[in-house]
Amino acid sequence: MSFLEKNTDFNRHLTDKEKGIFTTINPNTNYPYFPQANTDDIKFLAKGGEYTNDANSFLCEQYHCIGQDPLIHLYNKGTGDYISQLSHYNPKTIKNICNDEKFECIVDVQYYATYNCIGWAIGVTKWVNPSDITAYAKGGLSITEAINSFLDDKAKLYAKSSSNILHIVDDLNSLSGNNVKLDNNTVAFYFDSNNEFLHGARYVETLLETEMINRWTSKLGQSILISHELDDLRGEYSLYGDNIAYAVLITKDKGHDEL
Amino acid sequence: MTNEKGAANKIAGLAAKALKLQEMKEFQSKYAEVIKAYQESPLALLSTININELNEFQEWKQHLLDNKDKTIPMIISKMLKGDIFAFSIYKELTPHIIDYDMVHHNKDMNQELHYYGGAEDGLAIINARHWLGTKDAAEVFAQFTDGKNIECEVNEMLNINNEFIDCIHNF
Repeated sequence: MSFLEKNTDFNRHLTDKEKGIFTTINPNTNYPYFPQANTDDIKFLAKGGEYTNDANSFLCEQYHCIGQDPLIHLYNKGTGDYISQLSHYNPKTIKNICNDEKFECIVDVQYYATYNCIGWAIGVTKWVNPSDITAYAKGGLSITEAINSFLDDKAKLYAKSSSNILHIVDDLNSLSGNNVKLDNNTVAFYFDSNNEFLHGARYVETLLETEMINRWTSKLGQSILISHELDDLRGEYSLYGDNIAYAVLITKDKGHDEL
Repeated sequence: MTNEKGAANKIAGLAAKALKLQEMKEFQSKYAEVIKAYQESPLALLSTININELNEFQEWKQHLLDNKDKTIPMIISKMLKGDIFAFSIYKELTPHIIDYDMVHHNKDMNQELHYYGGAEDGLAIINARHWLGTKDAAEVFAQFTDGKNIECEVNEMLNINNEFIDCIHNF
């Protein structure tokens, strides 16, 4: 299982439309959503997710599938009355019934398979809400303690989960210092002046085994996965806030050097 | 999760019956439209889904509130399957919200979130379960023929007790 598959798009420059993600003016601030973004240097790594109408798609096993199972509701077209759900019938029967002019079928389905920035940052294929970290911070913990409480919880939770594809959350620890030596899989958590956590990025040396990146990487909510500089996404008026706290990998047999 | 999906389908059936064809078409169409608009907006860059900031949702919100008896069951049905968009909408329609702060301070809720995967889809399921135990739920289900039966059936499937509904003599 992998977050990424190599394609011709991998590590390309942003299209004009994608640059618009960063430069569009936020009506709440009258500044671009990411005022410090250097859109010529930000690189596209992967698309945001996959649409699928197939409830049994492997995408829905691999990623969090926003949406629901394909329910098909059968109505009497003439009276508008509900008749029943058809989902348990075989596809041929469903097609025959739904093609009958007396009936109308309403298909209640749309999947969007994706993971989010925090999922990407901690290496799990899940939509992990950064509000989970914020709640620890609002509970009176310091930023470092809040991040570590969150990481401890997720490490226990995903210890044996198939969602934990990188197994880095097990060894991630936040340090109180802000100057960290960048290593593969160092994580940066973005938060605003109200200590509200809004984003996570992960520094990667290589992706897809051989592709040298040596940059920060971010999944932008439901949107695309990019490589970037840390400052591209931060700032007083940035959607992700101006503050950053780090978490680094500390394994039992290896410490981490703070600068 | 089989019970949650089964319960979700039962609730969706109730909602589909209540909405009838035209309203159901409008609901599904509007739901898809709002999600698409959200995904195409800069809000999609956020990891906390905040549908309340979307103009398309604001235009729809009053309709959802005015028709809460029919629309909430449809939203709850989606949430029971882990739909985090439906959860975002739910948060704008009801005061019964379990957030991460509550989860961190309540051992049972924390265990429940872990059981459902510990991420946002799990919190959506927990909130749907919680709503099914409220007075609101009892009142909404009571609006429909068979509503009480379905709520009792669903709550039994999900091992939920709603003190505002008498299910003992139901079966």
